[in-house]
Order: sequence, then C-alpha cells, then structure tokens
Amino acid sequence: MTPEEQDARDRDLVRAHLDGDPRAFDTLVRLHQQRMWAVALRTLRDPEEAADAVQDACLSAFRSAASYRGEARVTTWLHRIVVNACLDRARRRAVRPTVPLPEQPPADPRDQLAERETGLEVEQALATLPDDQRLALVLVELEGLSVAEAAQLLKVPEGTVKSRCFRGRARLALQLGHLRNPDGPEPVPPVTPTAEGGLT
Amino acid sequence: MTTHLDVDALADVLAGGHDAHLDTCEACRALLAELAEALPAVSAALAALPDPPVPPGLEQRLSAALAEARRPATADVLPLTSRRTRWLPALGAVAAAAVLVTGGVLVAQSGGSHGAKSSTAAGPTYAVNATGTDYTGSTASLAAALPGLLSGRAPTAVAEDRAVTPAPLAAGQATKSAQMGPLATPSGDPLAALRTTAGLARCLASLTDATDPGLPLALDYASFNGRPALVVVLPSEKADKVDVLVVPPGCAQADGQLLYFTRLPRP
Repeated sequence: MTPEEQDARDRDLVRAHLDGDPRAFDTLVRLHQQRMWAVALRTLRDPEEAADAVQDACLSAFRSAASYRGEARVTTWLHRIVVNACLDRARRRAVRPTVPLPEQPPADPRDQLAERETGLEVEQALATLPDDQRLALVLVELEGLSVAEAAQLLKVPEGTVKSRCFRGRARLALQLGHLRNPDGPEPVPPVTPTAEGGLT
Repeated sequence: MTTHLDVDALADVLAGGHDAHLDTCEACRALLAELAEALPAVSAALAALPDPPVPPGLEQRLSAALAEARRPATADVLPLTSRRTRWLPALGAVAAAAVLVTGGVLVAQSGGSHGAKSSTAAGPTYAVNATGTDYTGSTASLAAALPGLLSGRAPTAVAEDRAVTPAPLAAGQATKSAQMGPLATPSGDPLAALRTTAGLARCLASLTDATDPGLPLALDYASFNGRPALVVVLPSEKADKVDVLVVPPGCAQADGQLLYFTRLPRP
C-alpha cells in the first residue's frame, strides 16, 4: 500500500468516525498504534509513560477528529497529537537529569556486528541523546517527516530542527564508533549533558 | 593552547554553520571530514531500526479508553477549541445572523410588528424550548427529544418554581415566549445569561467560530447530568444530519466548554 493509499484509507476512516460509525476510530487506532507506540516510547523512554501518552493521544484525536482539516496526512496529524501528548507528560513529570553517556568499553567488533543487526546498540545510543535531539531524529529519521513538518509539529524554526538532527547524528557517530581517527588531534571532547537538552 | 571544536560545534558546521577555528586547524578539518563521511551511516542505522514491539494489552487498553470516551456521561467537558468545526458553510443563507437574532428579540417583545432589522420577513427562524429536561448525556435521550425540539413544541419535562424563560426568537416564530423578553429572567436562573441576546450571540459565535454565528435550528434550556445546560441544535455540514451541542451557562461568556456533542440524523 502506498502512502497515498494509506492516507486515503485513513481519511475514509476519519470521515466514517465523524458520520457516527462506532468502529471507524478503533480501526484507525489499531492501524496506527505501532507508529504511535514507537514515537511515544522513544520520546519518553519509559513504557508506562509511553502507554499513558498513547492513550492520551488516542482520546485527544478521538475528540478533535472534527477539527482535522485534511491539510496534513492523517498520520502526520496523529504524530502531532502523540508528540504533544508526550511533551505534555514530559512537562508534567518532574524534571529528570539527562541520562549520562554510558562509559562504554571498546566493543568486540563481532559483538558489535551482532548488536547492530538487532539495532540494540543504535537504540541504546539513541536513548542517551538529549531529549530535543532524540525527538528531532525520531521524527525525521525514523518517522520520515520532513524537516519542515517536524519544525511545524515541534513549533520551532526549521533551522533548529536541522541543528538538533546534525548534533544528534554527530553524537551517535561518535558513540557508535563510526569515528575512529587514530591520527586525530585528540579524542573528541566528551559531550557534556546540558540543560538545553530537555523537552520544551 | 588551541581549543579544538567539540562534536556539537562540528555538527553545527555540518548543518551549514561556520567556525573560524577551522580556518587554522588542520586536525579539526580532518575530523570534520570524517564526521561528514560517517553521518550517512548513522542515518541508515536509524532508518533500519526495527519498531519496538507494541506491549500486549495496549490495544485492549486503547479500545477500552475509547469506549469509555464514547459513553456520553463521561464525556464531561471537551475543550471547545477541538470542536471548532465547519458548521457555517451549511448556513450560507444567513447573511446577518447576529442582526437577525437581535431583530427577533424586538419582534418577540413587540408582538411581531417590529422586525425592521430583519431584512426578510420570512427569514430563518429557530425553535426555542425550555423543557427543563435533565438530559443524561446519552445520544438516545437527545435523539428522542430532537423532533420535538426542532418543532418548538417539546413538552416541558419538569415543573419548576422559577418561570421558564425561553430565549428570544427570530422573526415569525409563534411562541410561548412572546410575552417574555430576554430581560424578564428570574433571578437565580443559572441560564439567565444565555437568555440574553448578547449572551446567546456570544455563545453561538463561540460554537461556530465565526464572526457571523448563524442561527441554530433549535435551543432547549434544560440540564445535563443534573447541571443547568443549553442544548443547541446546529445544521451539520451534512444536509441530512444535525449537530447537537450541550453547553454550560458559561457559554454566554464564550468560555469554550462543551458538555456533550453528538451528530444525529435530521428527523
């Protein structure tokens, strides 16, 4: 199914929901729960919080379906609602200290390969990024939103999204061992967790 | 001693920035080039990440939450901002609804002879009811009441001490409210503000999110789950449907709250 066909299907479901079809919205949620879950879990990093956020988002979408104007794809609209639900939760919960970068010993290359196959290492590295960089990368790299869409959704300038993405990618490159220059001037200075990294 | 660029600074350069340090530091330029080379692999690794498995029970939890949200009694207060929908296009005929509402009041107060502000004598009208019904918030109770509400002849459900004071009517509507203007509201009536022309106009404008609020099809001064409420029946964007909104007294101040909303087939 092409993205266009998916969107046509999703729009039909939203319309059916507004026309009073009691199953339409549940179907829409079932079709999108994987995406909603992935975004929420990677944004909040806590399964309990993520499940709460997905539920918040579903209810919010259910109630505001009539205000969906059809300008964005349904999936983009749902992403916006999920991200907003996550940001609401993140704001409400006590500010957590940024997770410090783990002290990773140089991994055995074979282990690293095995880990990379499951994506575990990448997932773990992603989780250590400052919240704002992680969220930008999740939206742009994993969810396939354009920088413009992500900027609109996060209510920040496009340049900010771009910068967060580049910083996040650079830190990941460092952590994942893509940068090993034996002739380098000195190790790249360790990244210090900063206050600016929080979800805003 | 030269301070080399850290990874953030290098990333900022890759994002399109510039750092004068690079002009003089061969080592940082080399690192920058290396980083630039590494980024596509990072993007590829991210794009290849498998989706985290949806936890068992999430789907049931979501459908239970949605079922709960469908139960109208729990659909307590929806933010109105999420309900600003497209009623107005269906109301194209109403060019100056605020004026018509005002004109209607004048007509009602003076026995129908004073409709000067209403450009068409047979202009749009709407039915005002004051049944005092305590709607339970189920769609069924509203659906059952709808034909009566639209005809303006809905039976009064409860005999209240205080006089039931219907809102001003538009021109031409035969009504039991003719002798009672909007100012004749009994004190202590929680819906009093919604019986005034200005309060009603503010409420309708907030519901339709338009400068020109248009006319409802019917109103019912009633209650909802034991609380005073005004039922507003509006044309739906679908010709064969109507939108039924239940609003609290604060709607007169355009407080943006909606107690209940349902879309019903037009009887």
